Amino acid sequence: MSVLSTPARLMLRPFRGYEELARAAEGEGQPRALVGGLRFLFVLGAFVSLTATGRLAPAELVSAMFSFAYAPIVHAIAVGLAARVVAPRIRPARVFALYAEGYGPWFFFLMLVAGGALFAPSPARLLGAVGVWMLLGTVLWSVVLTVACFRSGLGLSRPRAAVATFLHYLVITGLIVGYYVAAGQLLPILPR
Amino acid sequence: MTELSPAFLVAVALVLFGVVGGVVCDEHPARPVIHRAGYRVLEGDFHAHTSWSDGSLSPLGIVRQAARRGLDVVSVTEHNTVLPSRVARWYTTLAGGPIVVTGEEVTTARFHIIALGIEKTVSPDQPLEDVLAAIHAQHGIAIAAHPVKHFWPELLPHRAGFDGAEIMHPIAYSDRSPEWRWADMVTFYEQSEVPLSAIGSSDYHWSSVLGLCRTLVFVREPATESSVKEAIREHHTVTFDLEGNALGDRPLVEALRAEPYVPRTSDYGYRGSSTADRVMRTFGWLGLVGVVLLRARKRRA
Repeated sequence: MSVLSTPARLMLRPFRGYEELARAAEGEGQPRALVGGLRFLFVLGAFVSLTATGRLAPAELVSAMFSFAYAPIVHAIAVGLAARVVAPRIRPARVFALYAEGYGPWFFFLMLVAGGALFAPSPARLLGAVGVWMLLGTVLWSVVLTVACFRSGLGLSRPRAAVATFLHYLVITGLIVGYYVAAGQLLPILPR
Repeated sequence: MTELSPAFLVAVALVLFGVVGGVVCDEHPARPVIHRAGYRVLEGDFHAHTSWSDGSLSPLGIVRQAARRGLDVVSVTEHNTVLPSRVARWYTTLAGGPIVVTGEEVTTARFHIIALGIEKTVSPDQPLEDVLAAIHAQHGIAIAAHPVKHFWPELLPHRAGFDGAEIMHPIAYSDRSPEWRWADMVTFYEQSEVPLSAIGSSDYHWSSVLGLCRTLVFVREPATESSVKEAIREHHTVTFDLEGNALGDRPLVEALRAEPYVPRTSDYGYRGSSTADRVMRTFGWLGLVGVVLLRARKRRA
């Protein structure tokens, strides 16, 4: 366990991991939040580059980091608003700093899919067979980590953590659906 | 100063190797100038999406990826907006790259239409005949996108209003349901009473191969966005099915039979072009996994 990164450790022990992290990271905020957001974008950029070109092409990596920069911003807004409602005294930067350490399931998912694209004999067939289940598992794992972030990371009571988690996903869904509605892209992305 | 763990440093070094490989092995194959039947032959892909909607690459990335795939011409066809394709055209003018034909995929639950060569977005909130009229009013080209049975109730009565139809598409590799069969796309094309341009497109979103399905476009020189549009309008196109049979304009298919030219193939994976390439991309991926999974800082004693 000692050689694992914080996101990896949190994946394995969400609640205890967040408790330890909260103790260790007391007082830290903006720099950690920024690092967490940038790390997420870097992994996402690498994923885009690997799955599109089969290589770590710097132009595609950086350009995807810009294209998807909205993602951690949306997360930060959502987690910040949720925390503001249930625990107004906690600084938003600290909330997002803790939250951004919980991207592990998404890192795992992105790297697995990128690995499949690079090494599987038939990536499309592989993704078709297990992609949806992998995504579902990732989302569920991520929900557990979000609950753990609010409950153990921020020390909220169970009901408050539940409300915060619900609000967080409500805001994320609202912002993303709002974008797709405003850009006229909602119908095209719905399953046929 | 923070001390980094040796394992994490190795992971970072591997990522750097991968990035170096991503630069050194990032080949843009030279495009030979091919002529058949008095026309210049271009390889095109006229259906690609971007991160504006449900794709992963930016419009700029699509242009660069098209160059990597040896495409001479590409269209960014975002759902219900022409803006990303105009960005792509601006980029290729600025940085050099394949010809970009502007486009949009007019997307509704009842039909999908690729509108090529347009400058203003065509609204999907109108009947199909009005969509076709709006495309043609801009001197654009209307192509039936993946005309599978699912869309036939709306498409068939207006088939004569189209300039072309996609008859090669990644659906050919994975028929998913009775409503989404590749064979029906070919039937839509072959049973048309008016000639349609045969189009092969990859409908690129992410994690597949841009240019997997291609269209050979027979243009009059010089090869420009206008000459590509003109060629498609005149049905001077050919595409190839899964067995490599040419489909499209008969005289041009005959010309290709007399003097064969097969577009470069693209497998569905990323095999790498050399041992160094394969090693570098493996290093890059392993490094990323390490960076994500390994603790960065040394543990204090």
